[in-house]
Amino acid sequence: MDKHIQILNTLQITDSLFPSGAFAHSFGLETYVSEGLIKNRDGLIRFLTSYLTGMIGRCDAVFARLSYESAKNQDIANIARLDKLIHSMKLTREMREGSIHIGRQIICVIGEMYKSDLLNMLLNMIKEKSMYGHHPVVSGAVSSVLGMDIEDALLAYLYSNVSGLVAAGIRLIPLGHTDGQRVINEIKPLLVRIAKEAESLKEDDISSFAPSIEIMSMRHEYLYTRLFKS
Amino acid sequence: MALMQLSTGLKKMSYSLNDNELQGIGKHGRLRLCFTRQDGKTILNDSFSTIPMCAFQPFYLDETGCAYSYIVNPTSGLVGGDKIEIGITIDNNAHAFITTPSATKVYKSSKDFSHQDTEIFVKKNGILEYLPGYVIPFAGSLYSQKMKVYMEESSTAFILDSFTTGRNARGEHLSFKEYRSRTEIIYCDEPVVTERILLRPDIEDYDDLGFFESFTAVAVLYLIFDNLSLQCPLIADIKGLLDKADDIIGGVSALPSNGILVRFLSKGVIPLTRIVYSIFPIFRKRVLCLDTTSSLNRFFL
Repeated sequence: MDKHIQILNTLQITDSLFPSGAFAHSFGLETYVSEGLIKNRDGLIRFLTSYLTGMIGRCDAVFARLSYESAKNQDIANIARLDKLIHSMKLTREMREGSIHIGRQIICVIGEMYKSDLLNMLLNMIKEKSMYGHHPVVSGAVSSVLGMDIEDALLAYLYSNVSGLVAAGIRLIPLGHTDGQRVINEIKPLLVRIAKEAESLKEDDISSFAPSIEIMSMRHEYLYTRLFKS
Repeated sequence: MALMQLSTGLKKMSYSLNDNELQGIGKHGRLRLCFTRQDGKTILNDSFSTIPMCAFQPFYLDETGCAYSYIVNPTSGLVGGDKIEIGITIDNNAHAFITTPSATKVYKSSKDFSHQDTEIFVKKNGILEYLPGYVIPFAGSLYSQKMKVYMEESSTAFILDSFTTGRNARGEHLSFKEYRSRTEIIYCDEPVVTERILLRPDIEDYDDLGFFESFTAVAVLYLIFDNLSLQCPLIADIKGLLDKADDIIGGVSALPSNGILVRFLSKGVIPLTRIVYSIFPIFRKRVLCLDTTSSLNRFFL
């Protein structure tokens, strides 16, 4: 695939214009803000650092890479198996539903625009309820179909997570847009580190641990007023 | 091969050990327990153990026929290279409550991990209440635990898994080298819970927002059952308790299927124990339709 098209593909799926539905999710951030535990830019950076290292780095990012590799090998059965495995690891309802919501949105939009047997089959499996369509699994498969190389695919996946949460932070805390960009700038080295690690980790290495974020995600289910679905 | 004959106090069983296993005596402890329902009560109909593990004969605290049992490791704790394997089978319609009399202490180790692996089968209509003591990973310790739970149709489980950040009373906090934990719960051949934890305090900061924050113990309760109509009332009851509890933060949520998950962070183990044993009677009442918890004070106080 033409290199310039590849760059544009990456920009397109990470753009806030792309209708992934990520703008509707805060993954526990709204509870932290509502309980007064995150009040400023530093608090948002701490949340993102813990979310990325505790829940994404050794877990979702590795699922994205494994799904990317399976898609390269046209191994649909393995993509479905990974999707089932991550479903049993998303132990809070909103984290699980958020991941499925974003994953399905992405595959529907990309599936409409690119003719791909693999994406069609995955879409059919989701429609037939033999697959959930979790965000990392779908993201890995879609990146492979779009011809992205694995480094770009992982960075794009991580960046889309961060940009969605920074957008949530801007609305919730609230922060200015320039502050939002400063947050992304501070987080960039961590994204690079996580992407590199995720490239070398095996399925057996998958783990996650961020108990407070999980608890905040559970408590979000019962917040009186909510801007976000998660 | 050597043939060992062990007496559990209930039933003599034959078990063969190979040479490697003989060398591991005291380091490699095994415990197998099988509970079955007989004449209206649950009995321990089969058991096997090697040093240092042992189980007490079950006792009966109420009229439900539930077998109450302690799993005991009488040593002071696990050292590097120790491996404990626990196997529990709850047969059709049987009901067992299993706990431990103390915490699992894990000592400092230069290179070898201390392992504890648990495999549980809960058969059709079986009920397991499994509340082992919390794990205390000492400074410099290397610990790995695995728990696999296979559940059949209409079976029920209440399972606790908890650990502290170290010997908090002496100021130890996140000083262990590595803590690994894997839990899998499979209900009617479908994975309901897969939890994998890897903590390396030397590399990551777990004191920050999102992790332990100012807390020193973490626990998770898996309440697994097949009557989905119980999910909402159970969640509402538990949420009410969590909102009132001191020195903990907690949350409750529906699992992908067949149950709910409760997770808390606690300032020490006392608030943690208190909340676990406030939730337990609610579980018994809502899910098992049993109101027999007054006799359980011996475990909880």
